[in-house]
Amino acid sequence: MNFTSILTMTLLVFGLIFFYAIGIYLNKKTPLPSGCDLPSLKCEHCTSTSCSYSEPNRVEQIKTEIKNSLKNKNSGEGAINE
Amino acid sequence: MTKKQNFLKGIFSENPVFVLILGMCPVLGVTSTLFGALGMGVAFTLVLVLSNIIVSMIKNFIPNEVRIPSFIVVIATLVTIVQLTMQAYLPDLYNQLGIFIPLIVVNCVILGRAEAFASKNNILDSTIDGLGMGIGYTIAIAMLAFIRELFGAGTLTLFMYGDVNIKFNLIPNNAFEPISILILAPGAFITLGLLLGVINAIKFNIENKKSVGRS
Amino acid sequence: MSTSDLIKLGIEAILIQNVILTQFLGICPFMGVSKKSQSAIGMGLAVIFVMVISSGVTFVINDLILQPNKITYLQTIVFILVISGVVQFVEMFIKKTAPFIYKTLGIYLPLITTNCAILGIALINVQPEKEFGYAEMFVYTIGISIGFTLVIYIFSTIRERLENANVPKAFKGTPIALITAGIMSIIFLGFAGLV
Repeated sequence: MNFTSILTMTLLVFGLIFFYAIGIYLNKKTPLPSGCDLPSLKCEHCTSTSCSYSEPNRVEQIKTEIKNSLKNKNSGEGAINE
Repeated sequence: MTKKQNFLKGIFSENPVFVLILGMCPVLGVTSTLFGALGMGVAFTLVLVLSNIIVSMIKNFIPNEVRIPSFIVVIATLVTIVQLTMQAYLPDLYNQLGIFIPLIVVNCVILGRAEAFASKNNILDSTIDGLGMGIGYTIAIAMLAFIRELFGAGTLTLFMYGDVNIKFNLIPNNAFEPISILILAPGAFITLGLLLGVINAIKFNIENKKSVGRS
Repeated sequence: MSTSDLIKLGIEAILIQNVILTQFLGICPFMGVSKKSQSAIGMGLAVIFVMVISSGVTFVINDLILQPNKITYLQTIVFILVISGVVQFVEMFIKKTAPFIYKTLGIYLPLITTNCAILGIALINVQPEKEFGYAEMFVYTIGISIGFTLVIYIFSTIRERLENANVPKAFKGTPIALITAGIMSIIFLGFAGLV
């Protein structure tokens, strides 16, 4: 490992971090084109909290859904078979 | 929330695979042998715990706008460390997992935990959370791999390194033909689907009993 | 590589090495954005767009910077940064120049950064045993992304029907969708001897 490759590595990684940060900044700054109100996309697949399209509190929602559906049922019937 | 609850939630009530249904690509991709699943689980847990520790250490210095990029850089660095270590000391495992080791970077469990938990809690809690989630993930994929390898090939591979090869042959004298579709690609989807369905059924049953007992 | 070899590679990428059903990459959008066929097509188009651009950029960076300096172990960190950055710039570019495209695809672009298919294909393209040149890389990437769109569209049409089906309660949602995907995967196994 010589000096040039270390230099390239450092430059490359920091350059890319800079590139990404600039990208985010410019993208935030660019206004939405007119008439482009994005429809809301509700992704119900996972409960990822970092994904902006998943609903917040999905876990709680599932729990309450199950509880409600059980309350509506007669107590003797199994919940699995509908 | 006590420390014990914090640890156990990753294994039971908020299991990343069975409850949250996160990070599915490696769940399906590496579970054709038990050894691959365990190796993946260990690598995943290592990255998750270390990323949670680092994120909770640097959470006060990071401006909110560049939060996600800095998490990605931290995670990618840790994944590269794990990848190179594994390539050096466990080349067989590295070859078997292949592309799924670098893909830990984009696993939504790790980024999700970094953002939802580690960036809001102290180092100890974040470590416990990472450990619980990682172990929950490992248990889930090991369970899937156990079913797939046992019924698909009739064997259970526990360790593979050079000449050392710990492998149990559980079907003596080919007593029956293994269901080989289970270790092929479709088997991954079908086994996981059935497993999730069975777990849901058990969960509904428990909730049902609870609500019957109360009323 | 001759033209017929390239066509073979393209067909192989679409059907035989299908990114979702045989390589298990991109399961998250496959399960998450396939409730309606319209959104499935939008996601597929966004993936074609971003995958071709980001695979091209990462391939060039690998060829010109990483390989000559023998620092290919930086692939993971460099590629994820490049992909995330490229997605941001693509989104900005579309916002400014083509509002119409933004209307259809804009909503899916941020989802793509953490799509493992994009990083996965970028990493597969530079594997030494693949020995890809620029032409092969381009054909393979386009084939893979078309395969993604094809499968996610077919799957979404099945799921629209599945909504009305009488499925046991425990299997509703993800479990039955996974089993459906497994049956689709069996069908795609049948293409194995095609090329």
